[in-house]
Amino acid sequence: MLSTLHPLPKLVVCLVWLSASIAVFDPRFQAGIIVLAASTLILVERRSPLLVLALMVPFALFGFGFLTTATLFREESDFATRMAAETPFGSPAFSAGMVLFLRAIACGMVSAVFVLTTEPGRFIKALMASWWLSPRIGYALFSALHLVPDLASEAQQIRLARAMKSGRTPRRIPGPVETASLVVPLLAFAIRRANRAAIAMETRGLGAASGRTIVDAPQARAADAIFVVASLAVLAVLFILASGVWRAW
Amino acid sequence: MTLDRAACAPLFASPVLQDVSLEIRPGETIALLGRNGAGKSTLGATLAGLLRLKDGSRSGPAGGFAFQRPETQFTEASVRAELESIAGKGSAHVDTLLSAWRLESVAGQHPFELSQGQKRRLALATLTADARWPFLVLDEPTAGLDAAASDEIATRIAEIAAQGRAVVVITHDMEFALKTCSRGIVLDRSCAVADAPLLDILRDDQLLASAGLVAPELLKLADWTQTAPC
Repeated sequence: MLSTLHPLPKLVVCLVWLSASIAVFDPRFQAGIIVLAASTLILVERRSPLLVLALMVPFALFGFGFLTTATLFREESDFATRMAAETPFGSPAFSAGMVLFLRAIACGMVSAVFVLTTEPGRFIKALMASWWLSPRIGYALFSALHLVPDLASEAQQIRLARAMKSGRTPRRIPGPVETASLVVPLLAFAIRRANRAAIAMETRGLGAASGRTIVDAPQARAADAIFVVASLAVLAVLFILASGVWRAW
Repeated sequence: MTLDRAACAPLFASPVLQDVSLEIRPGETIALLGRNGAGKSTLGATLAGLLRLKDGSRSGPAGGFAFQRPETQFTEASVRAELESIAGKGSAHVDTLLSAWRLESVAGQHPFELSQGQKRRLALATLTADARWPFLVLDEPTAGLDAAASDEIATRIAEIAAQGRAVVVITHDMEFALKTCSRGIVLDRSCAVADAPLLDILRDDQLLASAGLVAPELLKLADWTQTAPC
């Protein structure tokens, strides 16, 4: 469902959520963002819970670095320790570390929501149509979008060809030596592809001059406005619930 | 070489073919047919022993595989070095190969500098020069070739088969398949829906239509000459 929305309002909403995650030093708030982002992916976008959990792993490992730093090297994280002095985890150092740990995951999950629900081509078109992204950069990005999967496919083909010559079945994950040996052929492939793309653009008369039409550029609709208002309202409610402001009312 | 109830998948992907059982016998020429994305290349690489099965079993020796883009399998800096990597450095057999595959004039060139037809010939030369492979799988061997070059590849395939090696041809070119192969395997709906003499397959309009294939014009013409009243 989020995939059908205009990419730019969605980007703005995600940036607001990221900013809130960075600004609010509260573990309940961070946990709320994680739960909401994961629920959106699982319930609304029908992504596998295992995929969502797997996506959390690199961010959790990153956040774990903050946790150990805050717990073991207190002098280094004095600011965070003071910020987290009144959190529910008892030890201020551990509380600070937990907030930083959860914040890393929360930022990662908000980013994942944007990436998994945004088609890159639509995003680039939206940037060119609405945010004046230079066509030079836009077309280069389009080319890169096509090149990346082709590069992966080429790498697999080369690995299979080499495995055939050496008389063995290729390993699932290439070792460091095999990876290094792929660099030059893949670079040559990328240069050849870039040359062909440049020639194709040249023959179609594509230049940097202004005044162009963009086919199927995303158009803002009422659903985008509803999404922006609803998601910011949810963020505000989350902040109120997490901070305990409502108790004063 | 035998596949038994094989589930075939590309690297890092889910199976695209299920429950495939087939056998390749020496000297056979087999056309692997199907629409785009049917899993022909995946099955070809599996037959050659390059991809692990997700299920089922494969028995028999590995085969040689000619990739769609022949550049993929070139690793040396010259045509001669490429052949020497198979036949042995300084081997007299290299000159024989260069001559047999009409590559003498480009022996010192980098493989990437060759024309498409020369690249195909070099790829086939390296595959046929290696005695390890009792059968070869050729993935779209006529892609980017003119009629004369395609014809030459067809002749080479017949020669390879005559030497007792099986050849599996993955192709969308039905005329080429008809010219080179005696047996056909059709892939559709994630499985092998037909494995029969190629002529029988090409005359089965219902099968061809459901698999997104079209019979070659040459066969239609041949059938018409036999059925039309004089």
